[in-house]
Amino acid sequence: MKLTQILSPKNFYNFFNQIKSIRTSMMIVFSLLISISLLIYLLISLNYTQEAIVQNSTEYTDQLVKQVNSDIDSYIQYMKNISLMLTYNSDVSRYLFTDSDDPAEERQYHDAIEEQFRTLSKARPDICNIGIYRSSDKYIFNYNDSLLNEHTNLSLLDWYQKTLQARGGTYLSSSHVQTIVKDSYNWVITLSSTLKNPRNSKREALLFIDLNYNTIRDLCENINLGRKGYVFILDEEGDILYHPKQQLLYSNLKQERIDEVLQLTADKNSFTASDVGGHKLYTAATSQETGWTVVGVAYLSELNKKETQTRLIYTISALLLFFCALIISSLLSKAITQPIRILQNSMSKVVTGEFDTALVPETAHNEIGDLTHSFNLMTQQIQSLIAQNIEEQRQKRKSELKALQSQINPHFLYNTLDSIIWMAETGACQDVVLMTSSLAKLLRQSISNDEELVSIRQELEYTRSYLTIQKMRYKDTLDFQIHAEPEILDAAIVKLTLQPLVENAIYHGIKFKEGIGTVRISGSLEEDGSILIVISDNGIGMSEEQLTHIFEPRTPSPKSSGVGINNIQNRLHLYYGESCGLEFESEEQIGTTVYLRIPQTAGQSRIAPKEDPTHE
Amino acid sequence: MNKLTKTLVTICILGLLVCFLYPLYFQNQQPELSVIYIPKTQDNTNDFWTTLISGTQMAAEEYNVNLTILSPQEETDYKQQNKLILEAAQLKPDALVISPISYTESTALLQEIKETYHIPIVLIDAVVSEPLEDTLIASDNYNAGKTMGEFALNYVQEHSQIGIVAHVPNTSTAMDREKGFRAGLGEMETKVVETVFSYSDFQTAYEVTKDLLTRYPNLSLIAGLNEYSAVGAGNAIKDLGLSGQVRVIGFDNSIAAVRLLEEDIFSGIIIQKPFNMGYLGIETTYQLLTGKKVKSSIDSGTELITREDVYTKEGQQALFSFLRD
Repeated sequence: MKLTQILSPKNFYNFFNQIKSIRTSMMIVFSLLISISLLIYLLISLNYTQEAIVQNSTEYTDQLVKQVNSDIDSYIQYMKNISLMLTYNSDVSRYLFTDSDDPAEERQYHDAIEEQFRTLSKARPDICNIGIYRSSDKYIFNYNDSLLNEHTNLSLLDWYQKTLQARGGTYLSSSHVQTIVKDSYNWVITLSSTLKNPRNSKREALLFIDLNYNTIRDLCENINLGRKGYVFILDEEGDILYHPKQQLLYSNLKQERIDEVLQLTADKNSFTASDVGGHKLYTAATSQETGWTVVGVAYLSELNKKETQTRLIYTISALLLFFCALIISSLLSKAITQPIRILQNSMSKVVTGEFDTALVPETAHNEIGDLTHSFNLMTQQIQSLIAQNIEEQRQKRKSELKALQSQINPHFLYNTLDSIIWMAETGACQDVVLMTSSLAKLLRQSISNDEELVSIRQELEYTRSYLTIQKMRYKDTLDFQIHAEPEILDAAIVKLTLQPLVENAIYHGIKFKEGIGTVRISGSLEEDGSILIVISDNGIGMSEEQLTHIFEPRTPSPKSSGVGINNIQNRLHLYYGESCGLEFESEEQIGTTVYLRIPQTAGQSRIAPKEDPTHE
Repeated sequence: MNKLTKTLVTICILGLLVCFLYPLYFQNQQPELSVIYIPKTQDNTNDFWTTLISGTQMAAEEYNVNLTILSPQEETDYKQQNKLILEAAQLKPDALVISPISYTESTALLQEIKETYHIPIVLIDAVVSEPLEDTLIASDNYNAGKTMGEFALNYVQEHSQIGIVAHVPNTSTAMDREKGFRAGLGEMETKVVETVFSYSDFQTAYEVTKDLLTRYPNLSLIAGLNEYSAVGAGNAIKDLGLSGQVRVIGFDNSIAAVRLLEEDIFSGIIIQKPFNMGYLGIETTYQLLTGKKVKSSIDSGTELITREDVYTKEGQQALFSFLRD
């Protein structure tokens, strides 16, 4: 996948949608933003520090190098003055240019000059050789009768040629080995000039002062460029004149960055280079006086030892900041998402129907505040709607029940009354009394009580009255047995549940049977605490198909009480939930059994607890 | 705290740890190495050894090596040197650097040290009879001799006769140089009439050269295979007034040799590079100790110097050491 695709907004959305909580998403975003900005800050400051260090170091070494340069200039100037002093020394001139025949006189000048040389050499230990030369038999080297190296061909010597070209001026050589003095081969820097013969004004003699490296070395080394830093000097031609590791350079064991130094100008007089030892800063200054270039080499790591420390402090502070920012972002995101979380919790309460504790205090004045406000309004409305709905349902059931109660089938009443008349005519007084009292009970029960729940005892009585009447009417074709355990008699049951079932058993089962049909009602307390009432008949039973359609609503026949199986089932479900209700078992020509299961704590409806009759 | 916060906290702690440990790591990185060098001698009058030792010191400074030098008084006293080698080994330095005086007498000792102390041994300038060293830094004597021979061809003609003044018979340096010299001469090798020995003594060299010249009056070239042999031969020719007739090619660098070169008695000298030898010796030891791969033998180089070189910048740089007084 290409990077642009990965970074597309769609992928971002996907990414955040996959994260489970808004708080986590916020934390991730906060952390990313903070770390990116801290990183940028860190890089900029480190880079700036580095630049500042380089700049400071450059200025520092520049000053030092210029200092060395001027020190060397004044040193050379001083030596030139000595050379000049000797040039105009009358003894020197007389010794060299007076072709006296008197050896004593010559010796006198000789000694005087040697005495001067001695003084100078003693005073300046940096003078290696000092000498005057006219010819191989007229010269004085040093003060201890040093001899001329007669094998040296002067014309081969670079410094000699240059001195002649200087036309009386003082020539300053680069570093070389002085070969003019016998048995002495030292690395020196030579200051030399020609001397004019006053007789013919020709430059016939030579004065030279060889300087060893003591003073130059001291000047270069007494400078603080750190433990590893150093100073070296290049001559006009770019060759090494002095270097603390000169022998290494001469032995080709080490190289110096001379080419790069030579490209430096007065404006841009420094550069940095990387080496095994670290970053080195080269700073150069060229002297007008000598033509030499003094180069200071400093190690950046040494010039600013605090660099590592600075970096450490920067990094640590960045990390600490990052850490603090994380904590703060954690707290902030919590504060921001807290109302959402509260809203979420109340929402899940609403889902489970706990409206009472679902209301959220409206504290925020932002979008979430609006959301909370709307949520509260909505919850309240739902709550009132549900209450309204329940009330309506209750009213509906009540009116339904009333309708049912008021609906004692006129056919049944007429038939019963007809039977009473007939019995009265035959003089069966006892039977008339029984039937009339049963009818009276039936009527009283259906009229007197408009509560939905009745005790099982009452319901059974009602059913018994009905069955008694029916038994008397159908004489020898109907019989019934009612047996209920005493424990269940006081439990509550939805009104008008047993009687319609019995009515069904008679009209759809027993009525079509030949011989005596029996209806059995038994009530018992089950092991799980529920109450089971079984109504069985030995009528014609039902086919499989009839059984499957048993709960479907149908138009009540004019002869029945009008209470359908599905009505009973619905009411039972409403009161006790889906786990309770009716179950049918039937076999054609054998009979039908109805199992009615209700909880013992009957009357405690889950949906409408206020419906509990004990509360009314 | 959820998983993410935990991860972030872990990253922070790790970052902090890295920050604190990073500088410590660099501070502890370079422990100083200790090396003991035992030269043949340390004598202010001997240019070769003082230059070589200054080379070792320069390298020690450069590479931050703690260098100790234990030196015998006499260049021939191998017994004292063996005693010093044993003492040095008992100090358990990181490495031993030795310029063995004797080809045979130190072999057993070095063998024993190698087995007992497991100290790396670096040899400078000379070897022992068994290849016990981890590396050797020396001049390639055969090549030096060959350069000498090739240079000699400039002065050899049809009728020339060539004599060789070697230092000690059956020493490796003398034999290698002579072999190289003869190889450098090529076809002219047949012109070599005799090899005589100076036993590293100026006077002996002087005498044998005189003797050689009496026996071969037409001799036109003499090769001196070390400083004593060459300077002795040069002085003999100077004293006999044969300068110009008999050319000398010398070996090794000294003031006497440079003077003879200036006097045009020496046509050229082959110089060794003791400073480089010493420097490379310690540098190589350092590399060996820091786990770099080093060659088993390193040529510190030789160079032919003629009279003109005494006055040129490059020649002077090769010929005269630039060392502190």
